[in-house]
Amino acid sequence: MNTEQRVRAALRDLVDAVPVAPPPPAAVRSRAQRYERGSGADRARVRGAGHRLAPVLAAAGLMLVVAAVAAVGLLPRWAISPEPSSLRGGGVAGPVLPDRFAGRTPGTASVEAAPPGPAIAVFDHATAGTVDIPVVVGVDGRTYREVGDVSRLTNAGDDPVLLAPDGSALAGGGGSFLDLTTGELTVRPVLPGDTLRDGWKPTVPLAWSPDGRWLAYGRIPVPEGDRTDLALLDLDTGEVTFVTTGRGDGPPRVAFSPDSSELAVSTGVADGGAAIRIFDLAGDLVRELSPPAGHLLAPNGTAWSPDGALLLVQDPQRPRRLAFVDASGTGAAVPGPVTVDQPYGVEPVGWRGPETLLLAAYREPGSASGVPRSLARLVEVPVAGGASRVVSVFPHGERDHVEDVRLASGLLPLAEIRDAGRLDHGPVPAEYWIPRVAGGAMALVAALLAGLLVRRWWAGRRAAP
Amino acid sequence: MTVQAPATAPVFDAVYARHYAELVRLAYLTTGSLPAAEDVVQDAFVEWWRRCDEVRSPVAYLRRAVVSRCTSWVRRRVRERSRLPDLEVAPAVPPNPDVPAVRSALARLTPRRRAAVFLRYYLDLPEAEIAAALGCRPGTVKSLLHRSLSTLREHLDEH
Repeated sequence: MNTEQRVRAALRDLVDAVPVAPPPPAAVRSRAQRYERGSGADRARVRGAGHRLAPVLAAAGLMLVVAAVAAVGLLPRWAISPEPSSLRGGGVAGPVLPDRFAGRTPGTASVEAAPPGPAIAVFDHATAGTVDIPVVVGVDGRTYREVGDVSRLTNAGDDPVLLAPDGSALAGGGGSFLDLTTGELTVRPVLPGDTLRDGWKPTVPLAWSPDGRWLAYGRIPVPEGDRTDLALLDLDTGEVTFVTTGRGDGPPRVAFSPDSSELAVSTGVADGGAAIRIFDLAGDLVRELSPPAGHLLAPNGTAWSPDGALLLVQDPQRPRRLAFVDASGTGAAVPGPVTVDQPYGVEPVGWRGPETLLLAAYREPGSASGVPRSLARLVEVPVAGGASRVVSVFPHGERDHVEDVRLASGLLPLAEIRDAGRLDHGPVPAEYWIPRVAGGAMALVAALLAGLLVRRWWAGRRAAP
Repeated sequence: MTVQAPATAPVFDAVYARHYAELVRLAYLTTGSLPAAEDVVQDAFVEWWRRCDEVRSPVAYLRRAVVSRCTSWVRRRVRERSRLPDLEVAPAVPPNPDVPAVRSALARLTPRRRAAVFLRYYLDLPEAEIAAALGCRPGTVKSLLHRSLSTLREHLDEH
């Protein structure tokens, strides 16, 4: 038997041994009806085994509350009265891109519980044995928060989120937005299915316009046939415009022009990178450009240079090589291709200015199957070519895995790259510290009781004749 | 079962009868906990019944909802305990020598990968349906399965 057959057989044995006793379907349906009427009892499992534990849970809950109240007084000040990062220092400091990114820790607060304010970066971070979770880095470069419930923003955490050009919000699939100043999640429907918050999110955000008004979405899965629809959401009006971009076998790569009036699209490998189509925001084709063979627009909505002159393209098979296309289509001269001196390839993440690219470099070689790789560092590379310069590093322990780096494009040219100072992970989440404080408190009580019993036993023994 | 009409009680009961156990097993493998699995699946059915007018493909919706809820459940557990929950052992597992290796390999996989393994190797779903259940691209399913199979192979080779 090969590995797959052994896995199949063992999995079947392992899972089929699980005893499943479905409650009557009518009971589940009636639970939904109770839910509609607002009854609290509906939240319990129909079989209701938890009710037997209610008195114990109530007592334990009381102890936890007592321990929590006691512990709040012991928490450091920064942990209980966080300020959004943009407000520190009177809000006069410019954005900071840290020269060394920290990762999430078990005690990192969530965006929802302690909003960080505008962010300079977001990236997915996992350590061995944990799931990857988007980590938001505040504009001060030292404030870290994680997205508390990423399934509300993405499809099972698979699709990356986008960071607004001014760093004020995250955009997820299905028209979802997480405001980084308030921690509130909202949904602006792009397709009808987007109203199902916990369900299938049929759209994935591809690019955010520099003026913050437009978001381009792709459909998942991509429609079959000869058309790939892009959806353009106007955040001012809520209107959605569909752009038929041509045949493709994956979500297209797109980028907005710096004045937010045009959209460049390349439609995946089925096109062979044969054409880059430029559309206006009404969905009409304006012009077509020819990139070098096999090249696609740079990913992550970063392709268009800030001066509007260039489109950055990349051959997915040669991830160290970058090339440029004249965005105007008038035949203007463009810089020659750049081969980046990073061993395992790079992924464009933004522009520091018209002359300088910012790239995320991989820390390991790619595999034929396209397994996601971890990113190691940010490097600057001159458009004119030359040596890359490392400007920042990501968590790079053996257990760390970093993917899907997104930077606030509007803040990058202004950002100072430096040591961001003492880290702020926000108030330690209650679900993390309450069990530990409560456990410590119970251990203390147990030790005191044991001490009392020993003392009583000892006193009784001495008093005995 | 492919159902395109809005749910009525008979439709609900038919889907429930046919898919409840399989969804509980999916949720069990993803969360590692049978009580959590039952909660998650019943919540998903309740949600479907409440939103029956909006859901056109209930089985796909239920799988998606179960994976999503399981992922959220595991994330909360990870935050509370700083590690993925182990897979509870069912009382009567047949004496297959590969079961311990598969179980310990699954304990090292993220919930999404556990779900992908179940959907591929237990339900034998094609990549497109797995992608629909996980809410990701088919290419992502390939890489999820590739990584998961590598981990499973390592454990099977060690045993």
